[in-house]
Parts: sequence; structure tokens; C-alpha cells
Amino acid sequence: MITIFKTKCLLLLRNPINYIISTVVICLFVYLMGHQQKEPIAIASLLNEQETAQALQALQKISYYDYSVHTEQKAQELVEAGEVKAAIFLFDEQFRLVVANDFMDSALLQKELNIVYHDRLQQTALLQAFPAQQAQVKEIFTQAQITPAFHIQYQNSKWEEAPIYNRQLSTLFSFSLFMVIYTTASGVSYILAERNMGVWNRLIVSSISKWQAYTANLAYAFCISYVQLVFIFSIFRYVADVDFYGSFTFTLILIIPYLLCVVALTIFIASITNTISQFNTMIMLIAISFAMLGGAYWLLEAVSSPFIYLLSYISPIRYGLEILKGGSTWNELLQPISILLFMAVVLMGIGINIMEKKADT
Amino acid sequence: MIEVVNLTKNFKNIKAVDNVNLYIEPGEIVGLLGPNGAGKSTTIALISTLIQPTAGDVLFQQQSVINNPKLLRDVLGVVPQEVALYKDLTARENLQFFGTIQKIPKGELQGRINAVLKQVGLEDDRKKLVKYYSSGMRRRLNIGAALLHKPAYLIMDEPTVGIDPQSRSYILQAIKQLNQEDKTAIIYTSHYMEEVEFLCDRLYIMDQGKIIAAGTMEEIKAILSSEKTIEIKLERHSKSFVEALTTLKLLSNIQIAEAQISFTVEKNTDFLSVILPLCEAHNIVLKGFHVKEPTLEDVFLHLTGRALRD
Ligand SMILES: Nc1ncnc2c1ncn2[C@@H]1O[C@H](COP(=O)(O)OP(=O)(O)OP(=O)(O)O)[C@@H](O)[C@H]1O
Ligand SMILES: [Mg+2]
Repeated sequence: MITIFKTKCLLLLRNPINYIISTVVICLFVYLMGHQQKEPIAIASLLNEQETAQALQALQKISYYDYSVHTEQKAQELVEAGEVKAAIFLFDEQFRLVVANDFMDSALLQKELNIVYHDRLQQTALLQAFPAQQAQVKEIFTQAQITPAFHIQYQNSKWEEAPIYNRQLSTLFSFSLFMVIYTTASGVSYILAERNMGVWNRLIVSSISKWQAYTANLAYAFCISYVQLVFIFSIFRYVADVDFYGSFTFTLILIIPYLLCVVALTIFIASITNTISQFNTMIMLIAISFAMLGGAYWLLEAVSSPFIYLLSYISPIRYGLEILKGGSTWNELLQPISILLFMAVVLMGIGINIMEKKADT
Repeated sequence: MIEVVNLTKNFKNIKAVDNVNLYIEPGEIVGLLGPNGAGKSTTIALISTLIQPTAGDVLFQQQSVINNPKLLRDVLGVVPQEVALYKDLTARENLQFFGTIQKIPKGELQGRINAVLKQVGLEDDRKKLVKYYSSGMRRRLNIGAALLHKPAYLIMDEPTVGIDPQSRSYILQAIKQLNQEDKTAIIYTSHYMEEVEFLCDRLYIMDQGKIIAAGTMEEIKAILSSEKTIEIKLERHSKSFVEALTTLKLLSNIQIAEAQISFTVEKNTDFLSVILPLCEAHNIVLKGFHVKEPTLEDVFLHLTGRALRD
């Protein structure tokens, strides 16, 4: 069994080009998507100039948007016409956020605006309480902002708060989960190739058992996929400094059920196809449609057709992303994980059975 | 001894193997001769327990191997019809791989690999990737991979298909040597009768899933002992001449080529006294004739009415 595994690795070393290319493509794609042209956001403000500038400064922390100030009416028009994905209306004591339904970062904007308004309201309240000492209050306030008595850190921890919508992380997850299907398929395709060229028969008449032959090949397919994902995630974690919200190791564990499911899916497809080219075509179709259905290209929340939404339940990518983007509780994670494992067991069982049946007819 | 008893295999509505009986004893070379699609490879897949029979049994030392293939697999080597090797590995690495999955002890493996490389004459090319091998070299390594565990029985499925005469005679010699020195019993499948005549002690002729003749070379040729095959050479022939020829009751198995016609007749027939007047009548010049010893080809023709190869 170990020999089969080692030989596969040797073959990969002899011919690593595809593996390297797919790794590079994923990295490049995610990087470019993360550094896309800034999207415009319209801002309409009833605050004075200085206050507006302050709010803008706070918002600019979210660097991948381009903020421009408009009149209230114009901002409303822009967002309705779809020319901007979001419009922010800054009023005296509150703000309003109008967003298109495929806008991903509402939560992030809201968070920043909340901080701005929190400070603002505090200041106003103080000023009202001490109308005589306006100058002093302002002085104290600026002082406090420069040297605060205690730091408040806003941490968006994955497991405690609402799902995070960080664009780069989200692209990273979606695209990697999608592309890794091809890597897994390249590993599993050995089984098909060996069947066609007769090496598989040699394995069967040798001293090792069938299940060892399957296990070794599937383990290989799993490992190359896993190593690829770990490598890519590490690149973004350590080189590109992408924030995994403190759960990097955890993320690496959480992709395991997804990969198991993908291995099972590819062996299933191998079982219902006869040649490598059929297999590759089928994998391409399945991977792309599952990626679309599963929300790797757009947010599932943006899907309006109930039928398509229903179909998304058959896509492993949906559950993979659900797990990675994080539910709030263990229970919420448990559901997609068990669905993936269930799919893995069923597909693997059916796949290997069909393959064995076919060998005999 | 390996015995095949009433073996049958159906694929959907094709009877690929139809009630086949055969056996092979230790140390002998048995030929399995038949045209394309005769069911040779299917028979071999059944014997090596790669597929399950529709009916019948395969026995090794009187025990069925259908549900207990381990017994036979340990002493069996199979050389598949298609080259089954990793093209991105070297000869050495291929043998290393197939040797390890045969569970050859680590200490012996290197020795076995070297011995096998020598047997198939690939010592000098052992570090070359198989994808750079010629087809003859691939065939030889394909055989080598089945020899590592010193099988007592070796099944070879058309091991010389599509290679040059030189590699071919090398392989035939190596097989003979293997049989004489290591006492390996061999089932040799082919549709080349010369190979079978050269190698085999006994043979089975197969057609359309059935064994249609079995025995030693002499026994099989004796099927034709009551007949002889005549080839006549003509300058040209005409339609009317051929028609007249085919109506002659004395001749059978008439095969017509451009300037040559062959047929079989009863052993003691005076065929010339029939042919010569016919030639004269049709104004055809007889350039020569030749009486042939029966070959396996003729036997096959006699049994099936068809040529072994197209
Ligand atoms: N897996 C299969 N499914 C359906 N039919 C098959 C299968 N394998 C073989 N056959 C059919 O069974 C018959 C015997 O095939 P087989 O390969 O055993 O012939 P063969 O004697 O080895 O021929 P060749 O000399 O061409 O190798 C053929 O008609 C073939 O089409
Ligand atoms: Mg064959």
C-alpha cells in the first residue's frame, strides 16, 4: 500500500507541471480578485465638513472601496441605478445604509459607522450636559482620542459573531475549494488510467488486496489536494497577511471533510465514465456547476430563483464554504460537516461498487 | 496442475467463452491459438481470476480458485496483452514497484530485479524511462514484470504482437529458456502458428469461444493426414476456369489469389489428371504446382472454413 502511494508521489515529482500551475493559478486569481479595482460607494452627508471628513477617514480603513460624496438624492439614484453597490447616508444622530443585494461588506461598513456614531453621540451628549464648558469638553475629548484611558479592540471572532464577509478571504475559500476539485480528480484519474492500461490488473493478481489498492490511490488523491490547500492558505496567511480571524489551524482541519467528499465525488465520476477524456470533461462540468450552485462565484443570499437555491443543496462546495465562513456555534458547523461526510460515504460506496461491477462485464 | 472445467463467460449477448475445458501441468508449454475475438484473452482473465465466470470452474490442485484466488495468485504470473507499465518510471523502478506489491522480501528484491533484467535483456537500459523504450523493449519489460516472483505458472497473452522480428525471436528464446531452466509452466496465447509450433508441447485451438481442437502438434496435424494441400501457380486465370474448378467434387477449401490457387484433396487423388485438362480447355498456362505439408493454418482452415488471419 505504501509502495503504491510512494510510486504515485514519484510520478508526481516526474511530472509536477500541472500541479504547480494549478497552485499558481489559484494564488494569482485570489490575489487579483482581492486587489481588484476599487468599487465606488456613494456618500450623502448632512454633517458639517469636518465631521464628514472624520467619518470618511474611518471608512477608508476598508480600503477596497472608493468613497465619493454626493447629494442625498443623487446617492439614492446611483444606488438604485446599480452604479454603486452601496450608498451611505449620514444624518445627525443616525446613519442609513442602502445596499444592492449582492453587496458583501454591509456588516463591515456597519461596524465602522457604529464606532463613528458611538463617539459622535457621546460627544453630543456631553456637550448638552455641560453647555457652559463647551470648549473644555471638546479639549478633553480630543485629548481622550489621542491618549485613551483604555483601549477597546474590536475583534470579529469567527466563532462568536455573525459570519464574516471579508472579500479576500472569501475569494480565497471559494476559489480554492473549486479549483482543488481538479487536483483531486488528477489523483483519482490514475485509477481509471491504470484500469485502461492494465496496470490495475497487475495489482489485482498481485499479493495486495483490492481495498489496499483503492485506499492507497484515494489517500494519494486526498493528500495532494490537502497539501495544495495548506500551501495556498499558508501563502495568504504568512506572505499576503490575510486575516484568518485567529482560526488558521482550525481552518486547516475544517477543510478535511470537504476534501473527503470531493475524493468520493471524483471516484464516483470515474466509475461512470470509461476514458480519461470523458472523465476530465465530466469533472469540468461538475466542478463548474457545483461551484456556481454552491456559491463560489456569488453569494448564495443573492440567488433569487428558489429552484437554483434548492439545487445548491447538492453542491459540496456550499457546505465547504458554510464551514469555512464559520457558523456561530459548534452545532451550526456540525450540520454541514455531517452532510459532507454522509455524501462522501454514499458516493464512495456507489462509485467503487459500480467500478467493480464494470470490471466484471 | 491448473484445470479449467466447463468454463463459460457471457458479455451481455456475446458468448466470449463457451464451455471451455483445458488443463496445464507443471513444466509444460501449452499453446492457445485462435483468431481475433476467439475468446483467448477472456479465458486468460478467467483463469487469472480477474473476472468471474458465468458458469464453470477453475481448479488449482483440485481446489476451486473462484472464491479463493489467493492460492493460485501466489504461483501465477500474468503477462497481459497490452503493455501494462508506468511510462514515467524507469525499467528498474517499474520492477521495483511490481516486485514490492508481489511482497518479495526486501533482501531478495534487488537480486530478482537484476536477474529479470538480464533474462529480458534490458540491463543496459534499466535507467531509461519506459516512455523512451521501443515497442520491443516495452514488450520485454512487460514480460519481466510477471517473472519477479518466480511464478510456477506463467500465462502470456500474445506477448509478441506488433514488434520487430529481432525482439520477437529474442522473446521466444527467452521463453524457451525460462521453461527449460526454471521449469516454469507456460500458457502461450497467440494467433501466430509458427510461434506455437516452435514453443508448445501441446495446444488448444479456439474459435468463437469454443475449443475446436486439442492435443500435441502431431495429433492435431493428424487431423489432416488424410488430406494434402496443393498450390498451383498460373499465369492468369479466368472466371469460367474458377467456376469450373469449384464444381469439381474432388477439391475442397479452395482459396483463390491473383496468380495462385490452393485447395485440398484426398491423400491419394491424382489431381493433375483433373487439373491439366481443365487448364487446356480454358486456355490457361499452368506454371507449376506444389504439394504442402499440412500446417496449423491448414488445420484451422479445415476446422472452420476460415483462415486464421485475415
Ligand atoms: N468487457 C467486454 N465486454 C463485452 N464484450 C467483450 C468484453 N471483452 C471481450 N469481449 C468480447 O468477447 C469476445 C472475445 O474477446 P477476447 O478479447 O477474449 O478475444 P481474443 O481471442 O483475445 O482476441 P484478440 O486476438 O483480438 O486478442 C469478443 O467478441 C469481444 O468483443
Ligand atoms: Mg486477446
